[in-house]
Amino acid sequence: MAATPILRIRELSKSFAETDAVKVVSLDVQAGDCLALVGHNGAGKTTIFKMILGLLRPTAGEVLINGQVAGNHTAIGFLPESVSFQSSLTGYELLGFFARLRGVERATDFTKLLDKVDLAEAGNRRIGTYSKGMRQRLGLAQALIGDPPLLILDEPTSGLDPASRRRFYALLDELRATGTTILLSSHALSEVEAYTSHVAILRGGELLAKGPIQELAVDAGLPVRFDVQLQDGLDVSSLYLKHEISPKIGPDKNSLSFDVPEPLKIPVLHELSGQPSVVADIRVHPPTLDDIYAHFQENGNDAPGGCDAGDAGNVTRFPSDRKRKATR
Amino acid sequence: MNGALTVAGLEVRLGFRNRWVLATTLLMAVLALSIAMLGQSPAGNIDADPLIVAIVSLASLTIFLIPLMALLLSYDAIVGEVDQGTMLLLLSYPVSRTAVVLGKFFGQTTIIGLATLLGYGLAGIIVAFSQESGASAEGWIALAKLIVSAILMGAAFVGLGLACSSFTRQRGAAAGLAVSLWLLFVIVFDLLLLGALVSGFDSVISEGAFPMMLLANPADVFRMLNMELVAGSGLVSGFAKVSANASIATAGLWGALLLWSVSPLAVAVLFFKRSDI
Repeated sequence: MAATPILRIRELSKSFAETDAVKVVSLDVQAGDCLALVGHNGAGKTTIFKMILGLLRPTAGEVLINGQVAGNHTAIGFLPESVSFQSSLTGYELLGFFARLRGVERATDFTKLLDKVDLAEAGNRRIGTYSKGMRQRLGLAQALIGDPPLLILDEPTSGLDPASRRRFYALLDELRATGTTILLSSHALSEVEAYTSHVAILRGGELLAKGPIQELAVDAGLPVRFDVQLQDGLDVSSLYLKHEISPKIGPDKNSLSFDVPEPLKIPVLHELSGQPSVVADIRVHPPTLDDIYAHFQENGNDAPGGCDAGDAGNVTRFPSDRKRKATR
Repeated sequence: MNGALTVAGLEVRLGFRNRWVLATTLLMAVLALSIAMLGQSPAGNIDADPLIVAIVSLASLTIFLIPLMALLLSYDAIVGEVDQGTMLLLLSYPVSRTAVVLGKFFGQTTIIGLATLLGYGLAGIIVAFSQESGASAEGWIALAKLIVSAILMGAAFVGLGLACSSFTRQRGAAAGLAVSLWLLFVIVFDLLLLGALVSGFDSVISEGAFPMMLLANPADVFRMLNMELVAGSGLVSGFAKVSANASIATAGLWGALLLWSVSPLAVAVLFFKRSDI
């Protein structure tokens, strides 16, 4: 029997005046998963977060956290998109305030918490003197108060430099290892692809697709790209492939690239590796999240791999033990 | 309740670090001391307790200053935090919207209370001890009454400011609404009522209705409470005399002020609970 998801969104909709911000979205997120909501600005990501947090009343549908209707905030740590704090407080004072609200002031080691986000030395400084990156990290520290089992992070790496981003995602990995469930939104698709296990793609309030990134690529039928470097002095006429391809030949005539459907990836790889006197190097590029994102944004949820409105069961396959189809 | 107290504690802490609040408190203390010291000279001529003379002057100052201070402190409390994004984070914690508004109300009323206690308490003590005979018991009671009623009036205007702040979606609109309320309750309301009385409408406004109309303004309720002691002393004139002579029982006035200090707060909670963040 499948475990109850820590977060269950059922046919959620939200309308503002004449705008439908969220349209019949259903999602299940299992404990320990890291799901990224991706979509253009205005796709409904923040509105969904607000409904999960109980800050917006859904027009229809419901959000359940650990089986209970949203509003059970003790289970959620939240980092808003444009994090802002009272500038006259110090880092320690701010964490103390939020820990009191969560009822865990005595049990919280603030120095350890600030140390996690590299702010231990700035803890006694007023927040007004912090850089944007420091405020963002302080925002993450407050979200971790009380070790909430579900973290919601809205554009968490905006304002962070590359080194801070790496540290941030390393921290997320640590949290996931301890069983924390993470729901985040981001426009940085390469980061999402590198560090998260699942994505949900939104457009204009509609959920277009959801699932593990590699499975979405397979379900969408996106091709795998091969870059082949031939041995010195040879050109493409030296290469034999029984599968039909449409290669793009490099300017030196000594290299080529071509796309093949995912099911043909291994056979083509075998063919190429069987010609060592012709092929010097092979690079295989599976579809990136950028490709997947563009595919669904262009074709909507009618595209292969897309999900029906309100359907949580279609591609909602988040158990961490699921066998993955795709190979890399 | 824990959430409300935590929010109140933060408000007080932020208030003490707010230069504007500190400057206003200092201004109030300086004005109170100036009025108290300068107001002692006529006391000898009319043989009145110098503390009571000072209280009459302080009450007039209070009617202008405390509502302004309370509204300026509170108009931004909700809409400002929504605008900055701090409210979104705050409400993501296990704290209800009611607790947030209550916390801000308690915190800001505490700031008003401390400023009043400091400014007027100091002024009262200086006046009382600058006389050889000291102040009468009646004078001390009047001072206590002034301070408590000033705090309650401050609470009423903090509630009104919070109602403006939770009703509007823009800081500028909240500020405009707050200033309009100050003008209405502190200046326009009395002018309209006086105008009605002197322009022949006094036949329409019955003797019993006039005091009731005064109850519709927290500033007038405050004035009536603090003018009771001096109603027949000749220390007051103009609208203060009119209101001082209004026949409403003291308990009724306290009840009205208490009602004023909680009803705008209830409206603020209602608005905030209905708003989307």
